[in-house]
Amino acid sequence: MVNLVFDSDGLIKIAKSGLHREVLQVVEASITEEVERETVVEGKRNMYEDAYRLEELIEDGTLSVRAVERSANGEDILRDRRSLGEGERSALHLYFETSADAIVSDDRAFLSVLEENDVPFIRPVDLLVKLSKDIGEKESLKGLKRMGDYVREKELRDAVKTLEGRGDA
Amino acid sequence: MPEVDIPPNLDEALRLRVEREHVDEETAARELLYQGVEDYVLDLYGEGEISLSKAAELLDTSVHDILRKSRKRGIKPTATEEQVRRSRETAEELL
Repeated sequence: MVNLVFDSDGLIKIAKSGLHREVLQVVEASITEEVERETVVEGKRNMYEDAYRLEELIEDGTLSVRAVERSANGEDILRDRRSLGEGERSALHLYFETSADAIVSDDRAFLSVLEENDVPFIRPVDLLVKLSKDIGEKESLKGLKRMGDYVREKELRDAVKTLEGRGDA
Repeated sequence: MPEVDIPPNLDEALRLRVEREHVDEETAARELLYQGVEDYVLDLYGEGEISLSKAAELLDTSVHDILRKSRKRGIKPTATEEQVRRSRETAEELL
């Protein structure tokens, strides 16, 4: 099973699709305690529905929460970088610590750091498109549309086209 | 935090806030400052200069709140073309 680390951005966007359970059952998904705090603990404080959905996944073991040590590779990359918060920083450390396959995020600032350092990443939209073979095309299309408020229109159109078999734009 | 002389026009805006919101000057100044900082931080987030978590930390709010406020302003700071390409490539390889 593919081992993916999610940051808060990636996790919340997958939750927005409404297919968080389906997606996270097909991959081995983990988050850090910092991401749990950002998405679940703080989210519940303001009664965000996504926070409760994510909490259910943690409670039933679909989503693993890991305490993370500072990895040497992570420290090298993150030194003197002030653009990232604790969620992203901890996700990067977890990626190295667990030798994960990729990080799931759509956060431009974080992706820039990953890109510079050849750390593989998958955006939630692309994850959903690729997993449509497991989840079902119809469901994935619905999920993509639910993510619409958080994804650029062009990317959403491209993803929908891909799913509908008209090819990549 | 440095001390700042407030120009007359901003002082007038401050007084308006005091009257309309029924708060004292210090509260009004703090609220207006926060509003300005919020705009600035959300702009930085929108331009991909800072991350979601960083924006939340700077504004002492939740990541959910940042996403909500960004959505309200039509801010969608998603990936560059090259990042999209790399993401799709990785998804293709791994999944």
